[in-house]
Amino acid sequence: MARPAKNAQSNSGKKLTQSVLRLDGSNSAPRKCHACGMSFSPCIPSDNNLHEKYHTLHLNGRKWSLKWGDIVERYHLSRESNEVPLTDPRLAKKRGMWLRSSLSPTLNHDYIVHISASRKNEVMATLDIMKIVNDELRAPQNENHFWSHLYERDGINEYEGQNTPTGAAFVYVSNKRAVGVITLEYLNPRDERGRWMIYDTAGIVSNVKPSFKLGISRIWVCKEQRGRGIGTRLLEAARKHAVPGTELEKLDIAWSQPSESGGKLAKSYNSVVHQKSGKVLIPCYV
Amino acid sequence: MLEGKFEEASLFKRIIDSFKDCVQLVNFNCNEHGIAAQAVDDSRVLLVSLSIGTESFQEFRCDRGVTLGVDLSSLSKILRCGNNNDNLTLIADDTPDSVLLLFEDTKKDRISEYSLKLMDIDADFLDIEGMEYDTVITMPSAEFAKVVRDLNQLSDSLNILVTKDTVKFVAEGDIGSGSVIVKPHTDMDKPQESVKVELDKPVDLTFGSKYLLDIIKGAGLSDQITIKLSAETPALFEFSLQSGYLQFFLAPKFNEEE
Repeated sequence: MARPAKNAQSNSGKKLTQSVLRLDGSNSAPRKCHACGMSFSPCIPSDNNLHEKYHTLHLNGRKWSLKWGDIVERYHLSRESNEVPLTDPRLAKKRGMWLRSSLSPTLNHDYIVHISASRKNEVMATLDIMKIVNDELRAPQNENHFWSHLYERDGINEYEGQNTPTGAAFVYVSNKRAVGVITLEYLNPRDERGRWMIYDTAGIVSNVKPSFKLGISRIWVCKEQRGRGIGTRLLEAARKHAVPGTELEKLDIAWSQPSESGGKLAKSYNSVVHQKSGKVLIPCYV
Repeated sequence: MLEGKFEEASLFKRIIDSFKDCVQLVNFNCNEHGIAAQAVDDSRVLLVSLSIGTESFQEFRCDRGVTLGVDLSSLSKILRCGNNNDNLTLIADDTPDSVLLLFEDTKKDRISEYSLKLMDIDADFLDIEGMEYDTVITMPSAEFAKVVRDLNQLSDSLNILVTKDTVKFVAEGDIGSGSVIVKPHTDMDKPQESVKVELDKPVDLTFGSKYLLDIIKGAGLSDQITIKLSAETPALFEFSLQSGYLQFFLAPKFNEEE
């Protein structure tokens, strides 16, 4: 049945806005977009615009300026789609495809950038992505302080340029869009936050407290770009570049409450098999 | 097979003229109960719902449900070709790609026949029944039309305030302001001149004048207009037909700050 979007109030010289009918027809009822999961009313123009924006962000990632972030890895997109990291000359040479890496990123290159906590623009842009990530993972929005100079005031993220970051964030850029992101926090061995998680049951092994150096707070790739190995590339970039001057081992990296797809990535990236029980264990932190 | 005969073409003409300016493409759903149509204007602010019951026809038969997708501006062109006093018969087969309009001048034995191509219009038919309203006003349609036309001179918004014993129409614009107060009364000699107000809750709603100007085009169909208002639902402006109705559902304006 028809309903106005909002009620009318008295016309005492104030600016009035025309509401529209909300019709429960199949075309016009509030509906949920299967691709991005957002509920919206197609008949309300502002709602529609909001959905389009969210939908694009969700499926194709956020637009990314060439100026944002320090490039740590590059990948050349070859026609045969065997993508070669330009930073690894040995591998490229072996395949006979060594290309002079230009300094400026181009459309032909995917690349990963490290987000500098002190540069506000790239931090804010990354936060836009984090909002989507947290919406999709149903995770708290306020866990960005360790990679950005942000602190929370009255539930609103505010930017402050002073604290030393205790983590890192990397963004995967493809075709001028940020299509993947990973945020990490440094783990202090004294805090004893490391655990093993049993992959099958998602249970924590309670009596063992392994030591890991880096915790993955979030890792996410936009829907349209999944299955291209971007997640693994982000993990590798984090492993090599998250701690300045140190290249970590795979098993130095721990996961936090991986989602179903995150668990699969964890299993393929750095799980171990427990010798006695034969169970697959994933490094985790709490 | 649809065969609906109006004693006078003018009735169908007036019905179509009442809403052809606010919507263009309309599906006419015909079944044994008559002809019904619904359409929403492009801005999705105004919904028109028409029902022409079989009693409005001199003869009516429709064995099987038929949908006639019509461009109203084309239909109105054809309707202008007939005289007001002609009989008008609408004829369509069960799966029509056109509808036949037959004008018969019984005195002169003149028959004119027009065929209108139909369109495939993607639109849903909504079930709009049983809504509850805070207040129901019944007043002469000509009087309502005059109020709307007059106050439209001042503002593009018309505020309707209904309290226990008054209906107040207010327009505030750049050049000044105006208001018309209508009180309920019963005219025994001319019942169509009566004003009736049923009130559950006082109402204060504002509507876009341009939509009200569209609505009052239906004033020629009926001596009285019924206005149903509620804070929660779109307003309903209804003109009764001998059998059936023409209804306009209008979304109000609201204060941006709220």
